[in-house]
Amino acid sequence: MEEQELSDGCRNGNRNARRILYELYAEHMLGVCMRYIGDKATAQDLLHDGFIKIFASFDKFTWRGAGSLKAWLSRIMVNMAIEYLRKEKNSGMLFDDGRLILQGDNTVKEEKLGLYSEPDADKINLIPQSVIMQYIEELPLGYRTVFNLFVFEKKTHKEIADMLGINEKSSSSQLLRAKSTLAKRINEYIKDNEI
Amino acid sequence: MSTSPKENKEEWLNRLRDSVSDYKESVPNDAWQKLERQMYGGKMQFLTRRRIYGGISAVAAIVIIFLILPTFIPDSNNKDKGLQIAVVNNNESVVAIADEIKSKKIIADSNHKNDKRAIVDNTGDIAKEIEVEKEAYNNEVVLSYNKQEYNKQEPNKQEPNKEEKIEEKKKEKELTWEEYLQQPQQKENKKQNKDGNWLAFSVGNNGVGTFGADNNVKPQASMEQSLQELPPIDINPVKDIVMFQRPSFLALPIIVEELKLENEPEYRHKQPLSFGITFGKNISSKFTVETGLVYSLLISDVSNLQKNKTVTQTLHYLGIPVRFNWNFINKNKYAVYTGAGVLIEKCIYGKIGDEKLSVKSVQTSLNFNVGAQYKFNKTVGIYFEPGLCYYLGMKDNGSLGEMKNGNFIKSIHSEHPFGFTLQAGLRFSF
Repeated sequence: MEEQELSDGCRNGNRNARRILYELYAEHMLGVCMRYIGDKATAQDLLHDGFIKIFASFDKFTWRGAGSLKAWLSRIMVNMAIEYLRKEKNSGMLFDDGRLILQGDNTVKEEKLGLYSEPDADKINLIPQSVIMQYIEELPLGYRTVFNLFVFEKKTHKEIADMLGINEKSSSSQLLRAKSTLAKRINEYIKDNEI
Repeated sequence: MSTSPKENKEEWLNRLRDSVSDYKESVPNDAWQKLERQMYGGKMQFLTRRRIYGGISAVAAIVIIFLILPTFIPDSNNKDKGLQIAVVNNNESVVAIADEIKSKKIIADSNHKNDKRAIVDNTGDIAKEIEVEKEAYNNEVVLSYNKQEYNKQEPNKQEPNKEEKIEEKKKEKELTWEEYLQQPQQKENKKQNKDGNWLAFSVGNNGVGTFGADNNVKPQASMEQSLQELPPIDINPVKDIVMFQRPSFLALPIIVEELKLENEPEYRHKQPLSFGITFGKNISSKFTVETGLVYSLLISDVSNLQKNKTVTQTLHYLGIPVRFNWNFINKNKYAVYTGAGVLIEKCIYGKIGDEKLSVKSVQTSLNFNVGAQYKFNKTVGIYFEPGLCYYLGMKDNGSLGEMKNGNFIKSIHSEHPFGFTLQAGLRFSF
């Protein structure tokens, strides 16, 4: 079934089309949820609720060429994840006083954070996908959320600040710390495994 | 390698994004079926449903615990309820009344083989004679309304003494029996059912007596009719005195506290508290197997061990639990769970007053808990668990062992194997 045909079927509530869509994209969408949430049980619940939302709002989707369906699905999942995090924020769990809790090593000054060694780009491809995912999932929540939105969703700091209810400076600081932490771990991996 | 991180322009980040942008995580086999059931079965969203069901389960579990709990915890105020024994001699005189339930022994008895024992219950509704078997019991216990005073008296003073005074505990007012008998109506119902274990006998004599188990001393009371034929008895506990309303009946003043064996300590247990360090292994997102170390503190106030003094008994236990938990709510930071398992404990230190206690036995209990956990991160969390416990293999006499002076060591668990527990602690999950 072609992507467009599939999306038409889903829009019309075709049960078979929905099942095929799920089989094609559920694993990828769960990967997206994991990248944001880091906890498998919650990510699975999010995936479940995300697909309910996807099927319910298919009439808002317009096919714009190959890949547009997957991009739309991912966007819904990311929104679900951010919405979940925001709810957690409101319950006072993940954020503190309107700001992301700065978990990790906060004693390092930002000027010094900028001095981390960038990993060799050519060697990134040699690191197993699961290892990189693990490093991202293990980032402190604040770092991870900003990192995901900036690097994967290509949002600006202003957009991130608006989405998360934090200020731009905080977003930029979180990104810097995320990159510094990741770079350090990746460099260690490259060194340890003699890549 | 570069040292100037221009955001989003670093090549390593682009490669990193490309590397994981098509990352897939395996989906549980039944995920689609669940989704389908919900979409076509009209069920509510999963997260919402889980929150609601989890909340309902937690509330239900706590309600059930608090409903069931009272049935497992014996009411200490009523622990003496039950059958009691009176000893009747050849002249059909009541020689003694004993409380069998409280001490597990017959504490007042007769040495005469022909004496009869009668069983009555607390309401006095039933009375039944039974044969006395010849047994050597300690006859030192004297049933009197004022034991301390009475014990100082010589045996030949054990005739009914109309001038004996009754102590009213609060008012400290002293009344003679005559004065007392003249004003029963004023005092009726004053402390009705205060202790629930009052016992009285109707006998055909107007005399008032105290009796000893000494067989040379016979109370001036004889049985007017067989015990089986006794009408229901009205018991009017006034202060610590038992009276009959029928004027022709003998009032037998008995202070129930005095029915206990001399020097038998009385325990008043406090709610035990436990602190645990727990190591849990997640065998799935819902189920955890765990073990660890649990420290429990058992505090009891003990009276009647030292004269006019209540001492504190503390027992410190260290235990190893093995448990299986079901996490019915497992959010990012919070978990609510219920679990069941076994706890094996050993007393590591014990003290009563200034005396050290040695409790050698290891105790095993079955536990059922409902708990809530707040997770600081993936590994470490704090928890609070109320629950029910049942201690296995506790002795019938409710003791853990004996002190140097021969008294029994008791704890809340030995006296009440079913109990309520409160535990808090740190949990490390892997």
